[in-house]
Amino acid sequence: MQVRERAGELSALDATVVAVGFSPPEALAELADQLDWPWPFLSDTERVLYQRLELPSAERGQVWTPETKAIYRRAAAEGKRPQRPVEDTGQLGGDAVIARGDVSRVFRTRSPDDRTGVTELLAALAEERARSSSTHEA
Amino acid sequence: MASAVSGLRLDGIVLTDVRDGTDVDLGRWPPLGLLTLLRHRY
Repeated sequence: MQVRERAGELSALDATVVAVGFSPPEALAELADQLDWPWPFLSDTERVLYQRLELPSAERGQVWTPETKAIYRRAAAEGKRPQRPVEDTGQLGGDAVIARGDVSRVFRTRSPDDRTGVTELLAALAEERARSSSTHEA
Repeated sequence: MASAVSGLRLDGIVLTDVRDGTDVDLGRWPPLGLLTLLRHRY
């Protein structure tokens, strides 16, 4: 995750990045370790946060693209048996800027390959920080 | 990517930290943060 490489800028904003997944907590704990994720990593198996942020689902054709099918075919040709997905492969992710429960911006993805760049996310965080600072000063 | 200005609140959303099992109330914390929601595990 590229955001980890910008930890210094996030720290300068006094901002925390919170990763959220809907896989079982044990699987996400393994992922957090693999990524060496330095911030909180939360599990949302019921997808309540996904629903509150109105993150959409991808169409089947967007998930099972020719490229994805080719990956599975190559694995099968090499004698590997890929694990069947046990979760909703259509659920899309996204990002949100929050401050004490207030969601100021939501970045909803439109396809599995769609994701907002870190620079844009940092700009949104900086904007929120400036807005909340001016509100508290007023 | 669709970006939207939001007036949503996260009251009542309490999720579990996968490392230590502690509850995190997103209606109150963090003071400033970026939530990054993943797709299914890879």
